[in-house]
Amino acid sequence: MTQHNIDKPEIEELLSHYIDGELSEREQTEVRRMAANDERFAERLIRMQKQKELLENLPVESAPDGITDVVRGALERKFLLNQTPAAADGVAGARNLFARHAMTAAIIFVLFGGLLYLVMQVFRPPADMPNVAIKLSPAIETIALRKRSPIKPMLSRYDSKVPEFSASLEVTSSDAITMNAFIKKVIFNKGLDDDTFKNSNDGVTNYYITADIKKIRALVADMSDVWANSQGKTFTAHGIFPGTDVVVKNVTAAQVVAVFRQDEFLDRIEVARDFSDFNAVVGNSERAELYAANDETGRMKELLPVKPELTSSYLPMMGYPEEKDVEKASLTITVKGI
Amino acid sequence: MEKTVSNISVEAAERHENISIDDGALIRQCQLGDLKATEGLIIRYQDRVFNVIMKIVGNRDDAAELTQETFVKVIEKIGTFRAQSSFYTWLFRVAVNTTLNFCRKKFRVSTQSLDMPVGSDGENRRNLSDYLVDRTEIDPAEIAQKKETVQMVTAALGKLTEDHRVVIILRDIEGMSYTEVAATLDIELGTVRSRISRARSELRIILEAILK
Repeated sequence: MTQHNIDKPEIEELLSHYIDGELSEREQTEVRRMAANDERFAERLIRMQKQKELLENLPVESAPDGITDVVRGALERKFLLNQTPAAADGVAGARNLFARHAMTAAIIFVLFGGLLYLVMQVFRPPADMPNVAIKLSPAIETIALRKRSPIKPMLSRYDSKVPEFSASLEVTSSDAITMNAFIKKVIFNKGLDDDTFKNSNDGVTNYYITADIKKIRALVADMSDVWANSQGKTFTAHGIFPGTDVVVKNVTAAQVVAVFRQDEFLDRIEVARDFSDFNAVVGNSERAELYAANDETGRMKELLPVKPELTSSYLPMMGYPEEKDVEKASLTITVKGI
Repeated sequence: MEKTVSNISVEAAERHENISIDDGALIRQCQLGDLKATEGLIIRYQDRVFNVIMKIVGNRDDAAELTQETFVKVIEKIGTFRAQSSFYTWLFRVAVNTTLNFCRKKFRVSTQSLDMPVGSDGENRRNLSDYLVDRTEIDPAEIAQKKETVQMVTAALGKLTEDHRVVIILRDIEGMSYTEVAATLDIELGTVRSRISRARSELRIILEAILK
């Protein structure tokens, strides 16, 4: 009769996987053989199985009555205190509201598209961009600190909502496990667990985060370690229309934060485009030198050739945005192992 | 039919699959602000969520409040729910996180002693002990439904470490698969496997001490 050390963690784990049906046919056969030849092993297996069955058969505790009423009351209180989106109305009211929002969003998208086209026509850098010299002089303004022209979106008279800004950040790393652990920790520390959906497939992990844009800014600002441990970083600011996304290769943490720091949707797209062009012109080593020449402590500075400022004649100012509610944004972080 | 390991797993899978097929329609209606759909979603899951939370905190009043808080959070955020994730695992992730945050804030470490819970008599202890070592033919459902058994098992669960308690509750009581547990707790599959094994081992030792 063979005697196995049944208290070894490996044996416990084998038995645990067996009773859960997680072993292959060959492994199951091996466990049955061990049980047939070792009485203590067989006893431990039975004990574990019985314990599991006991837990499975425990009575399900019923929730107390009235939970739906309490939940509804709490949501109504939050709505009255303007703490939650108005999504708890009756069916007819909600559908009407949805239809109005859909129409308003469609009008705003069309108008934004036209405005964006105008801005692109006026301010797109010339094709010979690589020939522009980069000067380290006080005359060069930083992207993030440069005064953004107050482009005011054309507003519907029904609603002043702008589209939700969304972006993606793809990082590749030879140590994806550490990268994922770090990202999960940062998400948790920033209280974004409940706002994050995650999925993994074939070595690629995606984190879909939709939350208050300030929280996302704080998340990105805290992710500097990601850059230290990754080999590739690509940021995409999603435009309103298909084909208008802006891709920033070899993006830095400071650049991502600078994008999210802009107050307006179009400003974020424009800043992202500036960084995309800048990174295409300036190699990584040159950027490193430029950064070293600047005070990086707490300041998000980037350098780019001077571009002409927008003048008021280019501004189709149709109105002023009303005071904003909490602005939501989406960030998708993709981690790929190499 | 005698319950075997394999057909218990099949039952759990079928139960989850049937629920998830209907969840999509309910969630879409919730997102449109349909009150009836919202109530339907809460009623569908409230017992199971309450049961899991109750097993973690061991206190009915706290479990009721945490269940309500869970559903308030979920309904608030249902507009942002994406199809890339399972609603079921998302719901329980919110429930577990809410409960664990509560436990940590209140320093609710179980202080239940290993002495026999009040009201348990020697006969029930012997019956449970005999059942666990397969010295009796008693049906697991019959013995598990006894109030004294529930008290003893709940006391034992309360003595587990937090990580072990949560995985064993989600796996053996709620009936989640390893993958679902991993998605709910946002941990690796390998971590789930090893943690469940250690949790079962720890529970066995605690139950043996209770039943002596």
